[in-house]
Amino acid sequence: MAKQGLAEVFSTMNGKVFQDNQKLSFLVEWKGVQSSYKLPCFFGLKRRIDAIDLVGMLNDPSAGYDFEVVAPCGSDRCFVLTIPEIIEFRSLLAGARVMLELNSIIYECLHRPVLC
Amino acid sequence: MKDLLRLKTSLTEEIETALNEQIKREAHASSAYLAMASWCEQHGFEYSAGYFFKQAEEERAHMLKIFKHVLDLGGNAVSPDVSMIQLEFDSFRAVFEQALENEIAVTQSINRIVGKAHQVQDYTTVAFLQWFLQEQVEEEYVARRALELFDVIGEEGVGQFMIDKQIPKITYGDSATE
Repeated sequence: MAKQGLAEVFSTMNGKVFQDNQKLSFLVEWKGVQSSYKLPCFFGLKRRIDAIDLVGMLNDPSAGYDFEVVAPCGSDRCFVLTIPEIIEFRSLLAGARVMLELNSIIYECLHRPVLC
Repeated sequence: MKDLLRLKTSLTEEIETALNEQIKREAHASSAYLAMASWCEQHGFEYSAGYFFKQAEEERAHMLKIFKHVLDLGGNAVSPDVSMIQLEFDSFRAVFEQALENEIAVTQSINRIVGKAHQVQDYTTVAFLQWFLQEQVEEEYVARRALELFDVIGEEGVGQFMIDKQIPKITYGDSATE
């Protein structure tokens, strides 16, 4: 637990994803800077990152294709990512997604049977 | 840790993606029928054009039905990007051959989604798609019957004129049309 109400979901070398159980949102920490997202915007960010054409970037020699600018919804944060950073950021969000799915499965097995 | 994922949506990522792909297929089918209506109208087959206009509306209604289902379950419904619509056809018969091919493709894709929904125990989506499976029985029947008319009536002489007049009269059974 990083802060009160925050649960770490997944982390990589430069990034972390936390779940804010009080605000029902996600906190993305990337290179020391944090930004908060509601669930639709968090998954919108994942889709944007997944949709980046890495092969196209690698094949294009012009300087304009050395980085990608991503401005997710619901936040002032703007990510400017190089190719290695995109790969890591993609891993961070994909890892977070898997952990959230896993949490759903655990929750279904452990908590919901008690309620019913 | 709270289960935020489930609190937001009861759709799994896999089913949400599959339903969004189906939304796109229905939108594509609607545009394809519109292109067929345009071709028929331009070639003097106005009854068939009317039939395809009606089909285009139906496919759009199907698309919206799935779109709303995804939203009702808290998912992310994606407004589809439709491209690569076939605008030209070799013959009057070729239009109906393509229409039947499209309906078969739609049936198969719905079957695949039902299979996936069973795998992940998403019985809400299974139940929702039952209506579409029944609808596809009717859609395929009508498309197949339209194509049969080309053999039954024949295209020579006034044949094409007669086929064109018969197309809007094709109906499925009373139980399906309700």
